[in-house]
Parts: sequence; C-alpha cells; structure tokens
Amino acid sequence: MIRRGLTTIVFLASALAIFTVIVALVEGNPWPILRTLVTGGVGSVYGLTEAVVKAIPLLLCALAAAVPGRLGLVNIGGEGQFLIGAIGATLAVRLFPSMPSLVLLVLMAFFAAMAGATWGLLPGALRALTRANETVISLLLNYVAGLMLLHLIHGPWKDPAALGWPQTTALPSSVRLTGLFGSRVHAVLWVGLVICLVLAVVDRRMVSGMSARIIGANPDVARYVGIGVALYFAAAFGIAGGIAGLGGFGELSGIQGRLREGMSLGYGYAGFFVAWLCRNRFEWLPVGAILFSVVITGAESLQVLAGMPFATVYLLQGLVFLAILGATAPGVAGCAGKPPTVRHE
Amino acid sequence: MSEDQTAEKHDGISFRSVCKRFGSLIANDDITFRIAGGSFHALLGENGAGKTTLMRILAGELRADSGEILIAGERGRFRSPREARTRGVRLVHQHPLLIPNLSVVENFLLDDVGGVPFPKVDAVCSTIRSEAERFGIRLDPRRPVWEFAAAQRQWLEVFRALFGGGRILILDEPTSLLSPIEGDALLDRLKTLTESGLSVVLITHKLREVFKYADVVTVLRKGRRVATEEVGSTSEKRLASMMVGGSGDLPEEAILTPHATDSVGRPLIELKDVTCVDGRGRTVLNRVSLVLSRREVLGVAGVSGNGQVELAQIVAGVRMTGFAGIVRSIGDERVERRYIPDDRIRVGSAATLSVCDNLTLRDFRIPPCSRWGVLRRAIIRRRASERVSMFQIQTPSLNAPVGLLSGGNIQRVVVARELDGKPDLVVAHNPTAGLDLATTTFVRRQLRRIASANGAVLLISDDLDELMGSADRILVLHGGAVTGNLDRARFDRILIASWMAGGVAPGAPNKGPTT
Repeated sequence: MIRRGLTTIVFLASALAIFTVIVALVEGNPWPILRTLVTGGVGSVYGLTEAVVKAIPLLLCALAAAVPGRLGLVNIGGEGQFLIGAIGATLAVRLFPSMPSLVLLVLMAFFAAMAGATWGLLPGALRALTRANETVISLLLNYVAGLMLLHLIHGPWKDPAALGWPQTTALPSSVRLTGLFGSRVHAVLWVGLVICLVLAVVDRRMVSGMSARIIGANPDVARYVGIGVALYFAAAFGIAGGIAGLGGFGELSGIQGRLREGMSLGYGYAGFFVAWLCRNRFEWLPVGAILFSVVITGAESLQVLAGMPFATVYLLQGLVFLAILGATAPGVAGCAGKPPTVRHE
Repeated sequence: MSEDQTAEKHDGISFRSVCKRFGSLIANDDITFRIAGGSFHALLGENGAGKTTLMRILAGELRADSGEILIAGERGRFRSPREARTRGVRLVHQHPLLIPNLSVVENFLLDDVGGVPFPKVDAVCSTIRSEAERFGIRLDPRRPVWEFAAAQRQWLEVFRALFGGGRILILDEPTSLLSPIEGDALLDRLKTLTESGLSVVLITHKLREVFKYADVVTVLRKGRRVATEEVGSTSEKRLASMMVGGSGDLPEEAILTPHATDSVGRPLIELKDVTCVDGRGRTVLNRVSLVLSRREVLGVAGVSGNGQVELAQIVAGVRMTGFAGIVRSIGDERVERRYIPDDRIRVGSAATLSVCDNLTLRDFRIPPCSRWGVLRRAIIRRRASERVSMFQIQTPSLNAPVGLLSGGNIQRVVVARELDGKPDLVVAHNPTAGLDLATTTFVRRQLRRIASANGAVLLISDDLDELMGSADRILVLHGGAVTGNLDRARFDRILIASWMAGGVAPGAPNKGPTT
C-alpha cells in the first residue's frame, strides 16, 4: 500500500515535470508559471474555494458515471444530462414564476433531476431492451442536449434585453443558491456528498448494491441467479441522469444565474475521468473531484494571470490522468503478483 | 514439425526446488523431479495440488518465485510463453484457447504474430491440411473454430502445438471436456507420438488414464511432490492413497453412491415435445419429452454437444425463450430450482467477486440473509464459511476473489452453493468433471441426499460410469432427440453406448416414461 502511494507520487511528479518542460519550451522560464499554477490551485483562499466550487459539478457528474460504472456500463453522457438538468430547472422557473422561492427551488431541483433522469434513461433503456450500445448513445445525446440548449438561448428563451447575447433572462435572485461563508460554494455540495454517502452505503450494505456488484462482475452469472439485469441497467442510467441533472441545477442556480452557452466546462467528461480514476468507488469520488478541480482552477489561473491558452487545462488534465493511469496499472508498484485470470475462451 | 524429432530424444526436464506462491497460498513448494525425454509422464493430484501451476511455470505463463528448471541440460525458466514455444514447450489448456471467431489457420498463425507481417495464408493452409492428413484427419483450415465440437477443438489445440514445433507437450486434463471414447482417442494418438520422440506431460486425476497411458507418474499433494514412480511398478491403491494423503481412507464402495431403495415420488416437471433451435439455426433439441419426479435421479447420457446444455437450461428455468413445446411444473407449489452449469467458470461464478459472495449468490436476496433490502453480513458470512468447511474449499480466505482459486476449487464453490439446503429441483450438468475422487463421492452423495429429501435431480453427464452409479433412470440423447430410456434394473452399458452413438432403442424410443 505504501509502495503504491509512493509510485503514485512519483508518477504525478513526472507528469508535472513533463508539463514544466512543455511550458519551458513555450515560455522560456517555467518557474513563475508553476508558481501561478500552485497559488491559483491551492495557494490562496480564493483558489481553494474556487476549486470546491468546480468540484461540485464534477462530483455530481462523476457520480453519474460511477453508478452505471458499477454495473460495467459506460455513461459518457454526464455532460448532456447536466445541461438538460439546467434546462429543466429553467423550465420550472418559467412555468411557476410566482411560487414562493423555497417551493420554487425544490421544484427546480425536481425538474432538473427528472429531466436528467429522462436523458439518462434513453441510453439506459435502449441498452436494457435492445442491447444497443449505451456508450455511443449517451455520448451522442450530449450533442443533442448541447444543441437543444443553443436552440433555447438563441430562440424561444432568449433574453430580449441581452443585446443579442445568446442567453436567457437572469433568474430572480430569490431562487439563486447563496454561497457559504461569502464564497461561491453552494448547497448542492452537501447534496452531492449525501448522495455519495447513501450510494456507498447501498453499495456495501444493501441487496441492490450486492446485485449491482454481481452484474458488474459477470452479467451472465447475475442472470443465472435470477437478478433482473435489464431493470438494473435502466435504473442505473436513470439515477445517473438524475444526479447529473441536479449538478446542472446547482451550476445554474448557484453559479451562472441563467442559461448560457459554455455553462459546463466539460464537467460531464471530466467527471467521467474522476469516476474512472476512483474505479467507481463512491467513497473516493469527493477526493477525486477536488483533486481534479484543483488542476482545473490552477490551469485556469494560468490562463488569466500568465496568458496561457485554455488548452493548458486539458494538457495538465491529460498528464495527470495518464500519470494516475500508469501508477494504478496492474504490474506497476510491485503488484505483479496479480492473481491468475481464469477467464477462458 | 519438419525437424527430425528423433534427434530430440533427450529432451529431459529437471525441476529443482521450484517454489511458487500466490499471496498466502503456496501453490508449489520446493518441487524437485525429472521427466525423461520422449516419455509419457503423468502428473497426478487432487484439485489445487499445484499441477497446473507447475506446468504453467514450465510453459512460461507464470514465473517461479525460486528454483531451477533445466531442459536438456539448458536453462528452462522461461520468461514468456513465446520463449517456451521457441524451445518446443507447449501447454494445451483444459479449456482450449482457440479464438472461436477466427478460422483454424488464423488461430494457428497467431503463434507467429510479430514474426511475419503478411503470412502466406494459402501456403499455411495447405501445410495444415497435409499435416492433418498425416494424422488421418481431413481438415478445412478455413473453417471458423466455433464450428468444431469440444473434442475437435481439443484435438485442434494439440495439433496446433505439434504444428508449431512442439516437442514437449503438456496437457491439462485434456479429457475433462470429452466423452470417454473421445478422450481415449486423443490419448491413444499422443501415446503413438511419444514413440517418435515427443515428450508428453499429462495433468490428470484419473487413475485409469495414468495406468493406461503413462510410463512414469509424479504425484503432487497440496503443492508438494509426494512421489515419482514407474507406472509398471505401482498400484492404483498406492497412488490413490498418495493423492489424498494418509493410508487410502476411501473405501471401494464410496465410489459408487448407495442407491436409495425408496420408491419414486410424484411428478414435478414435465417436458412435452420440446424442440429448440440454437443461434445458428441448428436443431439442438428435437421433440424431447420427459417427466422428472421427486425422489428420483434422472440421468441423461449422451456424447457432449447433443443438446445437453439446452436441455439443462430449459429444465433449470434459465432459458425462457427460443424453444417450442410444453414445459410445465406439475403441482402448484413454488419449485426451488438449482443449476450446476457445464461452464462453471463463465456462467457459474464471478471471478472478481469474493469466495463469500460467490457462495451466497442465491441467498443474499432472501431472508434471513437480508431483510428490508439490507444485507445481514454476519449471517451471510457464517453461511459461506459453513459451505467452505463442508465442501472443503481450499481458499486463503473468504474475501479472496474466486478467480484466485484453482479450477477444481472454483467448481466446489459452485457445487457448494447449488447443492446446499433442500432444493426441489437440481439440474447438474457434469457436476463432477474435473473434481478429485473424494469430492466426486461427496457431490454424488449430495445429489442422492437431495433426491431422498423429496427433491428431483436431473443429472446430465458425459461419464457413463457416473450415470450408472448414481441415476435411477437413464435417458439417452443423440442429435437432440431421446434415443433411449432405461430403468435402473435394466441398465446395460453396451445398449446405452449404442444409443449414444445413434442406434435406435428397441421398444419405445422418444417417449417419456408412463406416469
């Protein structure tokens, strides 16, 4: 275990080294930039709270990937489910503008979750009923959701007073989630953590969690002992979509305040990485989400303070991802004594 | 193949203090012995004795933790199967490692991946064809492997090994998937080949095979070598007692399950004119009718691949679609069904889940193992550990993934899960294939116990001795149809064998018993 931890650190350090070399090639002296990266990521109160802010949608999208992931399914559609959730929350505001704010907030969350769940159920149900490939369908639905958002903000829901900017009217301040301690960290953080906790308990202690684990290990065996595999497939995607939808609600009400283009910084995809790195273990997801968002905020501050392109974020994300991938690969870090596989044919 | 094999007469293999551990499990413990070149050497031992591990080390699939292996005096501790192959060492796995979707020639060419970028497929095809003819076999190398039956695939695997220049051939329980006739044919052929210089190592726990084919036998028990003896100068009793340890604590009658004298109970399940077509449009079951009653062990004999899998799935209630005809349970009460599938590793167990989880797959959803959807893990674990001790499953712990266990122990896990308790109906498909003598006896007793406790057992087996020893009645399947039906009093090995080969029964074929 210690050995594995050390290996991970070595791999991460080499990722940072590669990053430094690339920066040095482009910018000459890499040290100011590295300093900006660190202070932007973890070196300041602002950087830290911003990391938490970004960790919220990341966490919910990571959950959306991890729930089907436990069943051996791939949900790459967190992005679309997230956007559809934001659209659903906006719809609630448009439908019930005169509701008391607390009721309306609950309705927004509900609409967001339902919209996301529907979006998730599409690939999930198709997989369950027709064995259609859930990975591809959920991925393609991301584009549909993105275009739907564009259509709304350019067309029917466009704010007439926005001087041609493609965005909806701002949410009334009564339905904006307030930040904690004056930061932008909003209450959906607790929602995400509670969902994490509940799922971790279900996974370990409940019959449904055990069934899911069996399906994930070998669906043939699950069918053979009479577990309703198709139902689990559909339900997992529905739940996943609902969770990602809640993430969309949080981003809309807590951060953005209105529907606009670029609402998501690719949270759906980044969340998928987080889930993958945490091996779909619910209890690790918060840690993974915060680590990943530190990378994002750090790299963002490079963009703002050092004038580096936004692609730097992806560069750093990719390197970290590869480093952890390498460090956890079987056969690395003295785990060569991997049990012999018994899969035949 | 093209090399002069007689020149390799002296491919002796020496194992010196070979050790291998998997975590806390010691698979091979200081093993030292010698295999003479050009001999037929049997490696005998119970499940989990370390036979397969040792041979996988020899074939470069695993690396020994310590120790030496010398082949013809040279270093033989290979780092990869490829390196072993270049030295002529080939391991034929218990489950053939041919890729079903590829053709024979493509599978053969896989051996050379990286060698030639654009192999001359036509030339290789004709070489394969002519080499196969030398063994008296007509073979179309362009046919995909899935079209071949289990026995043919086993042979293809052996043939591939020889074709790839194998001079030391290791076979891991090659007959466990074959009918006795098929198995003998394969081993006969290999025996002939040893005369031309091929060394054969046969991993087995069938004494019969040792005495019929082997020159020398090495017995392993619990990872240690017990003895290496000339087959001519040892006895079955002696080997059996070395295998299980102690002084032959297996009385003769234990091999045959005592037959219950009580009469057959009332009918439980009826199949009427069941016809089943598989994915390739082949009729695998053809108007099969049978009645399975309580307090009865109904045996189904037949050469593997004659509809047994489908019959098992239909009776076990796993296959709900894809067949015509009537399947009904007689009586109103809920029938608790259990099923030991033929393919235990893929269908019967989940390799990455723990031994505990695998043992309780059928229990965790029902009280007392869970309540209100919440698992009661203490009860689950207790149940699992009871099964571990009752079925003598050798595992480092309850939490070890099942994939870590030996093949025989995985099988015990499946058997323990399916046979524990008092099910109404058990479908057991080759339940003792690959199990050692003690466990085989145990499993047969369990089947009988279930029948005596008012349960019904459908025992589908390739092993005629098992059926004649355990069943109350035997149906014979051939080409998906029932070609014969005998009560215990009229069991007749030759008659059954002829039905298995497609002969038609005098009297009433294709009919269930009158009820």
